[in-house]
Amino acid sequence: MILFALLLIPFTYLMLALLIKKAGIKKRLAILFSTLNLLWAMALVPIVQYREIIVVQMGGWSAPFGISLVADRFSVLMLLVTAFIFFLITVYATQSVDKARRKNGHFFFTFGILMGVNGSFMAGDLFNLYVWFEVMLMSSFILVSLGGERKQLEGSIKYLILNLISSLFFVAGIGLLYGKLGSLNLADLSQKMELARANLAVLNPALILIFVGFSIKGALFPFFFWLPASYHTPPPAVSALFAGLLTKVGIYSLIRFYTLFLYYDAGFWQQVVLWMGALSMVIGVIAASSQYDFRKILSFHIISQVGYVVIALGFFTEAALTAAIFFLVHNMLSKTNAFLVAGWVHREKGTLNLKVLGDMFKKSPVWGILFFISAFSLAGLPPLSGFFGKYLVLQSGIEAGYTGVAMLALFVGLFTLFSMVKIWLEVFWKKQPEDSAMEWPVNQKPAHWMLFSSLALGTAIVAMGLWAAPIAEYCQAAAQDLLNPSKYIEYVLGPS
Amino acid sequence: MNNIILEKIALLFLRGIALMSVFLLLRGHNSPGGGFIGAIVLAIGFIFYGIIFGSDRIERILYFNTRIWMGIGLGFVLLAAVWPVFLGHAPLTGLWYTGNWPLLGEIHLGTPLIFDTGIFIGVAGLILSVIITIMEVLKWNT
Amino acid sequence: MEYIIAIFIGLLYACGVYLVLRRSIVKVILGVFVLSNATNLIIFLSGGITRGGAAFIPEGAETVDPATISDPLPQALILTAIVISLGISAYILALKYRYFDVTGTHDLDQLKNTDQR
Repeated sequence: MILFALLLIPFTYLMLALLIKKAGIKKRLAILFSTLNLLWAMALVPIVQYREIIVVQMGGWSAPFGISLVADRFSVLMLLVTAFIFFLITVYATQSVDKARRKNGHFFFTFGILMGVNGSFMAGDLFNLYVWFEVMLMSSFILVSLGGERKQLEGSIKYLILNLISSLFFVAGIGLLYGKLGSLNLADLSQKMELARANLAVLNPALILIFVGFSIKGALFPFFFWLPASYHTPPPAVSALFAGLLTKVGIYSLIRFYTLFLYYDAGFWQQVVLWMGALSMVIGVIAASSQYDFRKILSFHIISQVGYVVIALGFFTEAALTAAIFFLVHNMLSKTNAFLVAGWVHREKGTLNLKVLGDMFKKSPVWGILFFISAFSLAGLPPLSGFFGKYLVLQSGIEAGYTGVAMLALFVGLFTLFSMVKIWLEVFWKKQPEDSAMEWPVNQKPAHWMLFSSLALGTAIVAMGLWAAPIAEYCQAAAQDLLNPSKYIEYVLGPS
Repeated sequence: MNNIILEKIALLFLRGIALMSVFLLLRGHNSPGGGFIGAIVLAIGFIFYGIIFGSDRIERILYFNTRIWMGIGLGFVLLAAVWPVFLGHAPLTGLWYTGNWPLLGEIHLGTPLIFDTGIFIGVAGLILSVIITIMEVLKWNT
Repeated sequence: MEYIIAIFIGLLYACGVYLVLRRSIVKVILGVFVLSNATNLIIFLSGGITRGGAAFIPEGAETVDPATISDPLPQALILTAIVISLGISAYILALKYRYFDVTGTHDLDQLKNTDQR
């Protein structure tokens, strides 16, 4: 029940939103339910410290046969950050998303995403992971196209078709894996693979298919094209939600998958993961530096930042996994906040093209500082969370003997700084070009709820930098659990 | 449309199909059938009816908006998921009631039936809302 | 029998990939449907094929020889996948319709506005 409630809360909201017609009530309910979700996720943290891995067997069917929900420290951390971000974005959306979209079910589908994301973080078997992915994707398909502007429809067709194909890869892989091993439960599969260690080559087609599926979802190097083509088209609140949660679910699954299955064949997969991570890092950041749209730069940076997590996964030591988890959390917070600031700029000026924007710092220094915090956290400047994330990744990389990749990460950080400084100068610092004064209805209403969300996220980023040590300790405990799959297996299947 | 034979047949067909779909729903636990199949069969009946009379008449029969039907379906599913929790079982556990009723004989009722009913209502609502929307776009509503 | 189905799956994949690579959006969508059906068949095949053995335990029987009945799990998985593809196909076709309404084209080459700077 402890874990099940995290699915139940969004589900109840979905039910109520269908039954209730008034948009105002739905909005209040959305804030209420996202608060509930946040409180529940916070309550999970002490429980997981005490019980280490929480397992719920649905319907009372024991593990390899039934559906199990599993949450270890890593999952709980992800659930907590998701709940935090989701709560703030819901508050933000009450002001930022226009009324027509809210009436057509904006909150309904965001809760669909929440349910899918929560489910994927807790899924104990592969097929359920697929189902939660679909729940999440189906809602995101609709959110991308909700509103029906031309640009949005274009972006959503690309997003939809490429993600559908990734799901097909994933399901085909699940089918082949089931045919070979006769199980879908993650713990059971891991155990069976350990027994079949001698001829793992038989499983490679299935594993590669699943790996490709996850990489498309996580926007890794050769498969990232859908992301920059679609993330800048929906309203800012939606793209913030996507940037914060969706690709991270793919990366979460990749980490889970790697630590449970792929490491049996580490010689091969480590190379693949390192190359893909390093290339996404470099190519994402180079592509970003040629863009002139606020959100597009940030979208390309998602790819590059995801690369950091993946190379840390490739190093595959305890310190590296700690770094990967820390970096993932930092990236979810900072990236979401950068998108939230983009949403405010869009609300004030009606465009996100860097060439016509300017003077935003004079307009509101608070928002300027908030962007400064999140952007320079992404670039990795010292007192902020990004610095510690990058520091941990680099340190673990050098310790693990991959100095070249670590140096590459350092170099990429320089480019990130360049892009962030570019946005900062163009949007906030320079004078607005005179000839580009456009007609945009100036919003008289103050954006205090939007500011509240962004302030809360900014505080979280600073706090994560200031109290990096306790968070890193928690991440280390999570990494130790990840590196020790026999513990996971024992908790899920029961002591053998 | 005022072809009386067609109208009567369409109504008869809808009733027959509705009965059939409930039959499929009820036999679903141990034999082929179940909520999803039943709902699809029911939707076929409504589509046939809608082709003849237009989508407005479907909405009149449904009484509630399809959105509300979907909500009711989700409500049933929620009930089946949460009920066992209050009795101290894992969520979604199947709880069964077996009894001897006059006229009906021995019957088994359980939370899976509630779950399946929820699926039935929800899926039927979903398909009908898709159909009604498409028919309205195609101006096929009278 | 497995071989025939395997070859058939291969054919379906070939058709699907061919359709996905076409320029018309409608054909791409059809291609995705074909691919998803081929994938469902893979899951079906992975459970092994048992002739004439439905996945039910007959009434009254306590146990049944696992070799004589087919594996019910892949069938359940396929049902789930079919339900998901039902929703997605309804949505993707509606999206295509709306896109055609707004732009009057179904040429994939016209879809490059979001990729430019």
